[in-house]
Amino acid sequence: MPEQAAGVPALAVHVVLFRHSVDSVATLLRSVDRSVAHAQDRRAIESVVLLIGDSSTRPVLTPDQLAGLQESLTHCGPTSLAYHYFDQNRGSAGGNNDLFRRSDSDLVLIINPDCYASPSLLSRLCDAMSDPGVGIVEARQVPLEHPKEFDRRTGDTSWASGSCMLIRRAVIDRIGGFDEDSFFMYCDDVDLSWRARLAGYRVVYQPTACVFHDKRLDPDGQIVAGEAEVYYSAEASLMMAWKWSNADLLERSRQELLHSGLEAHRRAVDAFDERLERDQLPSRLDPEGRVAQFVRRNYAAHRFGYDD
Amino acid sequence: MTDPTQPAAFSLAALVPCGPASTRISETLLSLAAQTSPALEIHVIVEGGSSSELRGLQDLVGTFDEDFSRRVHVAAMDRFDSRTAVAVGVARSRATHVAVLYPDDVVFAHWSETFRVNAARAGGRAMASLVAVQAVDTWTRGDLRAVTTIGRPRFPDPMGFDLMEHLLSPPLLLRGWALPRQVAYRFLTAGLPVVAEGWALRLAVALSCGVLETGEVTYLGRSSQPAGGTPAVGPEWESERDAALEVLDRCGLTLAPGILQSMRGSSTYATVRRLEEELAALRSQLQAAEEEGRSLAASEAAARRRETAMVSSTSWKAAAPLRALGEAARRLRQNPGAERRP
Repeated sequence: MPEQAAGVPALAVHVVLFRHSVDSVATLLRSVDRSVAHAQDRRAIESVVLLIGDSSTRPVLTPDQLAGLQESLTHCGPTSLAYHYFDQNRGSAGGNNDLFRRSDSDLVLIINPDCYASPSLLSRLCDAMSDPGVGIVEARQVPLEHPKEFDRRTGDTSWASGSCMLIRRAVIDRIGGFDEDSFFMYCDDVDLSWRARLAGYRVVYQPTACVFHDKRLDPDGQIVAGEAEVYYSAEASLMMAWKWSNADLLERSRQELLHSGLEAHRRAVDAFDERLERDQLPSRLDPEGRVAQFVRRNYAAHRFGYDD
Repeated sequence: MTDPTQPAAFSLAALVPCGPASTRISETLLSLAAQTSPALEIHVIVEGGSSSELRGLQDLVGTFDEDFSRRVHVAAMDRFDSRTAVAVGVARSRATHVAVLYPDDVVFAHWSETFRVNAARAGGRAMASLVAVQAVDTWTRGDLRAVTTIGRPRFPDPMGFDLMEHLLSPPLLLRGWALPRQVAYRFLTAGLPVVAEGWALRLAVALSCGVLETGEVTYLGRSSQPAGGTPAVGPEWESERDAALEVLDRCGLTLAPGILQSMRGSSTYATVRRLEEELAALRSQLQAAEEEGRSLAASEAAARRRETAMVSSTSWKAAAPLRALGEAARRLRQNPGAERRP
């Protein structure tokens, strides 16, 4: 059973960049700085380190720009910010795993570079961590809230979105970080959440902790997706069905992707088949289906679908 | 003199009219703070409420990063002020364009950027972006207010601006529009009634300077009613709309002769509900006319059949002399000298 950390927890904030603009990084850091101030005023957190990992082909930040960002952190202070250029695209999973090793904080906030933290984000995420059984807390995204179901009384939910989540360090120590070998960009958060739940931790949604996430709608009311998103989400859907022991879904997904007519889908199936042939797929988990939830195309029951 | 080929520098003011409950605008402010084009001024205009509630709002603004919060101006409405909150906001702002955000609504990150990049193309016109509306459930968790979305975003408002459609529309808000401030100011200072304010201002601005549709979805209205539901339209709306039309008339708004009068005087086009009733009556009239037409066509076909029968077989022989005379006349016309041949 998870143990309760004593005292006021230390926090690390992870941001993994991939060709993001300096302006967007500056805006995010300003918002995090304020949210840290709010949380520290309430004694929700103690010390803070801000870790930026960069998976871009060229560094997003020059030394001068980094210095400017450090100076802008009026609350956290310049020394709280560290920048690590990976010199390779490690994806969000690999990037965060790298950053996990660079601090020993009690809590880790993972936040996307295209997010903006509300002032009360951190303190409200920490509120939910007051229960030692809670391993991961997910923030509510604005303007487009994720439609997966959650228990309004307890906050319990199937999985937490990696766009903005607070993780207890003990979870990482217990289950390891993200499965970066299987999930490059999508579903790494679903997989992490389900492994945390298998280990006995609760994953909860905190609807009063708001984070703005720059998601957009097209005129048909669907969330705008790029080509990379189409490919990596297809690849992740196959990997999820495999790893979480749903053979029927795996075959169904495979056939649907092959016949969708999209080149990205066909490439994703080819890549999966190649790994299968080379015996490079991960071990299968949860054959009894204790935590894994496959509901239609989703990993939880949804209140509605953006593409309904 | 202003060079019309060189549009004035664009600037945008976001106006947030709200009641004293600051919780309803915290996410609205969050979405404004997260803009990719952050150079905008923000005016929160508080209607009613005590001084402590006003301080609560100012404190809320102060929790945001300084780069944002210093651009947010919170002002309380004077209780003797007869103007609406939008009118006060327009009067206070100094931007070239103003846009209104309502409590609980949020904007996408590219909301202000969309207006900025389209400003040159718009010239002096207003700009309209697409507005999605999402149904939400508001509830409390502990002593905090929570908002949970319960349906996918829909697009209930008409796309763009169509005069007739607008005239027949129920009350509309100013969601998704950026209005040239001076034009808006001109009509708002004339005293538009609050219920019809958004509807009348859209009409006035569209007819005064035109509207550019950006085609982008930049605004998310959040409603605790099912998305797409038609607001209740009652006698209050009709009287407010009539009052608004009178104000626009006084302002010299150029409309085709008779439109406002027909709107005011007509008992048939006063509301969408009545229009629908009239459409239903017209449809039944059309059906009756179509049935009558089908009956007449059947009668005509029967008459043609009788005529055909009359010129067939027996009657054909009776008409032989006449046909012979007709044939002779036709030949004479074709060859006039033939009959004089010995």
